[in-house]
Amino acid sequence: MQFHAFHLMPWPYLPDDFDDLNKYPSSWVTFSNSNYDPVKGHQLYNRYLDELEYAEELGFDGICVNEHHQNSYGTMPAPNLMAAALARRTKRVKLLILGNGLPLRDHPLRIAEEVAMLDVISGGRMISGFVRGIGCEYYSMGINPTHSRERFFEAHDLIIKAWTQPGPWEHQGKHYNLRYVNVWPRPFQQPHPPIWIPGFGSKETVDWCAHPDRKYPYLATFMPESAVKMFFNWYRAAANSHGYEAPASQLGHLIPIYVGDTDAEAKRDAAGHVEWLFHKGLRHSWEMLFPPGYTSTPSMARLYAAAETLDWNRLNFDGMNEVGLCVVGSPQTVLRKLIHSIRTLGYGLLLPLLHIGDMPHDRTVRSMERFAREIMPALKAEFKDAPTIAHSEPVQAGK
Amino acid sequence: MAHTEEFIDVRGAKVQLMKAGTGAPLLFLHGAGGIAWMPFFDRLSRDFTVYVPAHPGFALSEGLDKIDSIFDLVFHYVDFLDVLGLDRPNIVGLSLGGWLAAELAVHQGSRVNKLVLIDAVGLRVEGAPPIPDIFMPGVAALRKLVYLDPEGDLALATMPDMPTPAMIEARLNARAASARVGWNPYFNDPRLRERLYRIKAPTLIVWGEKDILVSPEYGKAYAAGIKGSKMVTIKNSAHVPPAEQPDETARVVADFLKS
Repeated sequence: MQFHAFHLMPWPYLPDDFDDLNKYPSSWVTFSNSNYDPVKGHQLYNRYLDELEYAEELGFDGICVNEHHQNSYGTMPAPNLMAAALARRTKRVKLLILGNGLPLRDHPLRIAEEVAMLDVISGGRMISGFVRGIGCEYYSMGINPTHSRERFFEAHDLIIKAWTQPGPWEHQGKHYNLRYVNVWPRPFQQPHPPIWIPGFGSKETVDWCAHPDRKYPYLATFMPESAVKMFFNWYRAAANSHGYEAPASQLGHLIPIYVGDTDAEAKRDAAGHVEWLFHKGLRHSWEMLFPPGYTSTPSMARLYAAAETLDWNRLNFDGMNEVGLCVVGSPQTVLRKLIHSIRTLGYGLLLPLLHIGDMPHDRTVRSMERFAREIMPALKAEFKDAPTIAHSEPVQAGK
Repeated sequence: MAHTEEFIDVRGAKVQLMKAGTGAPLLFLHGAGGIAWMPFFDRLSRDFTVYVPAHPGFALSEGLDKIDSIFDLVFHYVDFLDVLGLDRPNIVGLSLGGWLAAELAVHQGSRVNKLVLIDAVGLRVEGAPPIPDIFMPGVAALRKLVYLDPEGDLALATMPDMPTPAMIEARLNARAASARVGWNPYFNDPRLRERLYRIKAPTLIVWGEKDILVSPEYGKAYAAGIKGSKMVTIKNSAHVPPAEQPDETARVVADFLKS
């Protein structure tokens, strides 16, 4: 089992009347940056970085940053900058960028360069996640969402080749054309830093990750347990169709976790923050989340029909807890739930979001400490041999 | 009056084409919302052979993989005219289709007899009200941008709150196909205005008097840029005069084309 502490670095200082959905229909794209206070922001960035650095001290295997634009849910538009800050302040942990939004940048080589620089500076501690970015980012960055998929694949292929094929060479593509590709520095890890793919909705991505050419770990992100199960089954089925069993080390679960002293105390201390995350942090309309052409029309039509079930507002904390959108409880409860979840779902990478929504620093740190001291060692012992779930039953596409 | 529906092959892509009437050819280029047969076309088909194709990616037309900009659509329609053997049809374009018609007349002026631009996007006009985002609003908000009476029968029939699966699919396809050419820059070609001087075809600009999506100021900019053109506004209409005021709009268009 590996444990990587995830952070979103949210902006918690929302207006008092933020519950007014007419006034604030979204915390993304159109929520004015006049609500951002740079002086508080200064304290906040440094506090959040402290929390990630503390995770190294606590024995986590890795710490994670990520990319989102123009919103109060996650204030890391440039994740490579955060990784750079962490690279010099940590010595041992893996640094996970989950991930760079490939289609959102006009220059994939800039990503190849920056991640290679980080890998060299950190002595090979980078794990390089690649994402398309959620739909909202396409409004914020002006990138045509109908090109999202093809830009992702072209940029991915270009970056991997830039890391592995000695330059200079020429790239002629649809979206990127470069006479001289010759990236300096080359990455520290050979052939290149591991690539992990966080995902939240598409089977095509799962199949692509599982392909033997890649075998990229797929990270199910903020999904109810039933959805995680479906995605992991898709992954195992895809691996199986290519003639191999997907190991647990290729399956990751990214989920908010809060460890309190008792169940009652945990619920009291975490419920509001979990609701903040899903009700305020992830407040966006269907049209924002799914801009035109972002996924295929059949997938989108399915998602459109399911719009109501994707509306987190219909679930309060208890509802979220019940469907497995979070794990909250005493050390005993959290351990029991995670053992069950790992046994049932068969993943080997756990990426807990330990700072949740607008959670204050002290509460975050206490939960991190309980997780590191009472959960991590127990799970490592319990799953010394990685859990394996062989692909058995046929899984129907689209179900 | 009955119209026919067929599929034609345009350089390997299946294109859906609706057609009615006899007389001089009239090619109608539809807007970002998509296309369905309207009474407006029946009126025009009394005087003209009306061709109403679906752009690539809209309705049942294929070929969106070849379309990345408005100029790719221009090439598509030059091929389309060649396939149908139409040398110089009249071209009537609405909204996105109006932009396309203007680009066609700029780049392929010899293929246009007379030109009608209805509530057309395409121009960047400093000081004019910005064109609101059509991709972000939900359907109820979108109706307010498009129709004078957003809760009227017409608006609710074409953009219902509870669409059928087929309508959802058509809407998603229309969104994607429109975004392909109109996402960024947002429904305009920064160079179009300075190139309008190339349009030699007699041109009529038609605008819904109450259009808040594409304000009549854009129509005035087209009129100012196209020599000899004139502009007519349609009363009691917002962004889609052919749907909102079919009789009056068809009369204005037909009178101009026959003159």
